[in-house]
Amino acid sequence: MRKFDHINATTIEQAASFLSKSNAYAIAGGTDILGTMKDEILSVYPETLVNLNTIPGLSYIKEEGGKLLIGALTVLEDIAVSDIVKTKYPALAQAAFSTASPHLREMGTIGGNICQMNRCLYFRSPDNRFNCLRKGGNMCYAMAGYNKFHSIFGAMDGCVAVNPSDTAPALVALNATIKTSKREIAAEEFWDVAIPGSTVLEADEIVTEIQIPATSGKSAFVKFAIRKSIDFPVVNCAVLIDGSSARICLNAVYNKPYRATGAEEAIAGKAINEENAEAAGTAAVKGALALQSNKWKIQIARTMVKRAILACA
Amino acid sequence: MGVWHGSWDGNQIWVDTDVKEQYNYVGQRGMKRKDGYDKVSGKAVYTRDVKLPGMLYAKYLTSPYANAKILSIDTTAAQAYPGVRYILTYEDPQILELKLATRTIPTFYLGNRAYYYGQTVGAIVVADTEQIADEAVKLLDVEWEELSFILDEVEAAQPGATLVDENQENNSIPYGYSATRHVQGDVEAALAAAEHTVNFNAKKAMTYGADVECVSCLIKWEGKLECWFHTQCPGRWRQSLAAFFEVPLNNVIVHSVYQGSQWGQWNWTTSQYNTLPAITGILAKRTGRPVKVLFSRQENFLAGEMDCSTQSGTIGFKSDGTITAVKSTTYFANMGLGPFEHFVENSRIPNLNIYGPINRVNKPPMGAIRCEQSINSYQFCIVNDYVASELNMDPTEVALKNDGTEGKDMAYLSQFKLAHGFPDRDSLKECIDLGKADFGWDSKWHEPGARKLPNGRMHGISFTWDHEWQDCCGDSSIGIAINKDGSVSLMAQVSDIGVNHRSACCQIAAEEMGIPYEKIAFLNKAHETVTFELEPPEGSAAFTALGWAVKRAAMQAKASLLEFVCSEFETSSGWGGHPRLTRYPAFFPGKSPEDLDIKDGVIYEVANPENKKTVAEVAARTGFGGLSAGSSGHAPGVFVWQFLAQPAKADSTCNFYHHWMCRQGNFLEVEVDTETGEVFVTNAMPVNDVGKAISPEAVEGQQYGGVYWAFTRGMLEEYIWDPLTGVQLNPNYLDYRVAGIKDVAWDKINCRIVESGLGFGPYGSCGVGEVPGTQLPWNLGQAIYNAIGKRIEDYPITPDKVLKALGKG
Ligand SMILES: Cc1cc2nc3c(=O)[nH]c(=O)nc-3n(C[C@H](O)[C@H](O)[C@H](O)COP(=O)(O)OP(=O)(O)OC[C@H]3O[C@@H](n4cnc5c(N)ncnc54)[C@H](O)[C@@H]3O)c2cc1C
Repeated sequence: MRKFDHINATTIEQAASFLSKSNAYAIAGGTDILGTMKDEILSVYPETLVNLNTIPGLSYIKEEGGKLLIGALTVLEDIAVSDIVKTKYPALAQAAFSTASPHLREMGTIGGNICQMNRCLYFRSPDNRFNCLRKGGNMCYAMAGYNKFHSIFGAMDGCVAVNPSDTAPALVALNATIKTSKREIAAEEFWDVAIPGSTVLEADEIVTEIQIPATSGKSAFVKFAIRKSIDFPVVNCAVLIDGSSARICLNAVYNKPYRATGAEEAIAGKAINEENAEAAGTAAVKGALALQSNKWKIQIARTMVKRAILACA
Repeated sequence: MGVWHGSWDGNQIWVDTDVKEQYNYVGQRGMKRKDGYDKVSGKAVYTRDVKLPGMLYAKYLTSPYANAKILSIDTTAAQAYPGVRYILTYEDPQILELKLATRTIPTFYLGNRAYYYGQTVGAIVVADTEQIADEAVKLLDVEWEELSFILDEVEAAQPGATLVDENQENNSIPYGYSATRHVQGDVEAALAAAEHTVNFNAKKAMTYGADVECVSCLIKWEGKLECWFHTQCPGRWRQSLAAFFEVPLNNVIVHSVYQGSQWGQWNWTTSQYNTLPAITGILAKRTGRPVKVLFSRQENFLAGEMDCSTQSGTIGFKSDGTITAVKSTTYFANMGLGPFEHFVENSRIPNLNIYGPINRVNKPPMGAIRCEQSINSYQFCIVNDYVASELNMDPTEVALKNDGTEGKDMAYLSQFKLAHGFPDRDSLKECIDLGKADFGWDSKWHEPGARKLPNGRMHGISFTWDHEWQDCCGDSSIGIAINKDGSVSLMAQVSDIGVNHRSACCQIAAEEMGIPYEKIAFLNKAHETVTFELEPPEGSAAFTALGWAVKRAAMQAKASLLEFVCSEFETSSGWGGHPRLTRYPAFFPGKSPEDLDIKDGVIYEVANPENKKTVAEVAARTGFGGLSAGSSGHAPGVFVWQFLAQPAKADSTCNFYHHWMCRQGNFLEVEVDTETGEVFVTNAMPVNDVGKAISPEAVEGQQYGGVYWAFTRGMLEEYIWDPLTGVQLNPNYLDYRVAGIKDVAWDKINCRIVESGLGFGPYGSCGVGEVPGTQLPWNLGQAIYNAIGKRIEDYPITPDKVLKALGKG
């Protein structure tokens, strides 16, 4: 690891102003950003880390004005064990609980989880071995290389990496809003950005809060990973079924969380049973397109949609 | 000397003829582990922990290419970087001397040729801190010539294949572990005449040693050359360092501190093993400071194991399950052990033609990590299971039909056992009977794909079997001293591999000397300069070999003590120029050693147990020097040492001095989720005939650990290579998956121990360490087949492969 400056910010404004300097990154739990620095995966090494932990009042879970409000610095473990989240927004509690490992959940924040960088093995290769599209290069190495865990819904701007977050699909399914130092962004739009970006955030923009509208519907989250104790999702899926409407979001299947609208239409207003859930699963992967070695993920995605729906029964 | 039991049989087999029904310490549970406190309290010191005043850190340059040559290195910028102390490059004359041949890739690791991505090559930078060394390595201006590469072992064997080494005519390995072909009987005729034949194809990805502690080596060279090295062979390193630097052996110390796991990595088979301490030594000498070389996790990934292989073959067999012929070809990458030994040693199959070509590819060198017998064992398991399933027979029956050795049946083995003083027990049958009963095999066995469970998953079971291969080759030595207070010191250097064999050595000494286990200490450090080494040449044969030296030395120590108590003795005392000699009567006047015995630290007359003295009382009159003022003096203390050398094999073409007789049976039950391809292990039962469990808890430790590795090796672990660049994509423990402690359902592992007394180790023991981890992976494929009716012989068996077999992926 190389040397870098570390600045403790005390207010959001101050943090934003430090971040506006070139090559500065926010640091919350540090579980993602420090790993990228240790392996020197980026083409330009971060010069400055702006510590958000020293800004008071950014860690909380509360209900207010018909919404669940979660501070951006709230650690995943707190969300996973929160009674409010577990009973009213189980998809999010389950998603947080399924993330990484106990130690990482105690360190990693929800803000960091939704802003984390991509996990494509080429992108993460130490010493920036592959200067891929996502780093401003001109090639996606996974497209013709190793792509067992890559996109099943095609490339975005030529890149077939997937968004790795477990909490992201839960936030999309629960129709969350992400509040930043500058604006409010619907969760669904938060990752809707051309590469090399991961999120729509501007360089000096900070996530401050997650807002989730109260719901009387049922929600659930399921995840398939190779290793259960600690692993990123092969595919995960969050579902909210509220009366006759359904919101279904897959992740790790595309560059950004993938709203499975076909599945939503297939299940909306129908009884939750094996047959209907199966049909929704099949609808979810309609149009899926396998790369050379990830066809199996289509089957996994179908199954995750089915199981997440059944978990809402 | 007549103090130990056992005999050389035709100068070839050492057999323990002193086997009892019951022992006081050997075989007992609840012996407090000698290393337990150090390890659980975090006080244990590992190589990486060692820090010395003034110590410098060194980091290697590594290759960014799968195959490349360094044309030049300009060190100017790195040299000028503040904190950089020294840079050694491939052009250094002493490095050129370092061309030690290796068994795998013929390179010396500060050469100008890199044969795989990540190889340490070209230069090593010494600096004040690890970080400075790291940064300075990046400032080396290296001119590389990138060469084309090849990753697949089968392609590498084809004429005209890309060459790993442009100076060779082809990729076959011309030295060391070269291709093997074992021919026995007439395979072609037997296959032509066979009632049935079946073909098989199988693949196993390369896996990593996966030691917890990454490699490090520290050398301080001030007068003495002192080395700390993460290795399982410290004693041999002492000799190599002394020889390379032409330093007398009594001026070289290699410390063997605790090993943060080894599993065979960094032993003789790994190329870097040959050069790392030598390079560290050069750096320490030139800088005049202690130098520590540290490998990062990524660099540590450079030693794989021999698993990497592609095999195919044909089996001939009769309708009753008798296997008549096996013909196979197994392509290995970089290194391998032709998979014939298990057929030869473990079966009566008369006709064999087993070919194992080894070709170089641009992957890290292979090492005998977690046992090099895995592919051997894999093919053996495939053959048994394919025959069983073709005939719709219970695989345990096929096993019993084909058990034997060197083409001969069990009657021959019975004769062999009796002729050499072993009990005539049928080890395989005992393993199968015990396993079947405890596993509930008969009620669970079904045809492939026939049982769906209420939870929707498919149910499958499997059985594999094999023999044990770790027994007593190699040589060991140990010294034993009885201290003045009656405590006992075992003195030898032994690397911390296996499950706590230092404690088991103390158990043997306690048993043989009649001295309580608590009074016995294993002093690993005390003798790192004295050359007593419990270090058989191969980790595979650790305890069974070194246990012999301990047993013999302990018997001799007891004999010496009894000799002493039956004789008059003299002590010398006095000081200041007034020496005094005093004569004392014997502790047991008129008795001879045969009249006496020792139990629980008390020496007594067998015919009259009331005539007794404690060992402590007696030992108080002995000593090794250091009289205090006014002391009444002492006689020389009891100190003995013993050595045992045992031949391993007559030669490498399968003429063993002896037959392995302890069999192993492995039972496995799984559930397969056919929607996700996920496999759940619901019962794993290794049934291991260990001959005699000297420390049952250590045996179980090996069994649990082995089952853990079996699943991790069978379902998770694989190096991932980019096909376009040959770069390893997953040199970390997140993407190179080994199971976490929570990934294994420990309550579903049911270990069973069989003690047939058929081992060549002390008390009729044999090893167990490599067995479950090497054999149980192959149960997975067979159990999955029993569950879903489709063969997957492509390890690791990951969900994508299961789905593909089911037509869903
Ligand atoms: C071994 C391992 C396993 C993992 N497994 C999983 C998994 O299974 N599922 C999963 O979803 N994740 C997984 N993760 C990722 C982990 O959840 C994230 O690293 C963590 O949530 C990030 O939070 P953090 O607070 O540590 O972020 P940091 O590392 O501090 O920051 C991450 C990124 O977000 C930015 N950032 C952080 N906070 C803010 C903010 N408030 N506003 C704007 N930008 C911000 C930083 O600048 C940085 O770019 C794993 C990580 C590791 C190391």
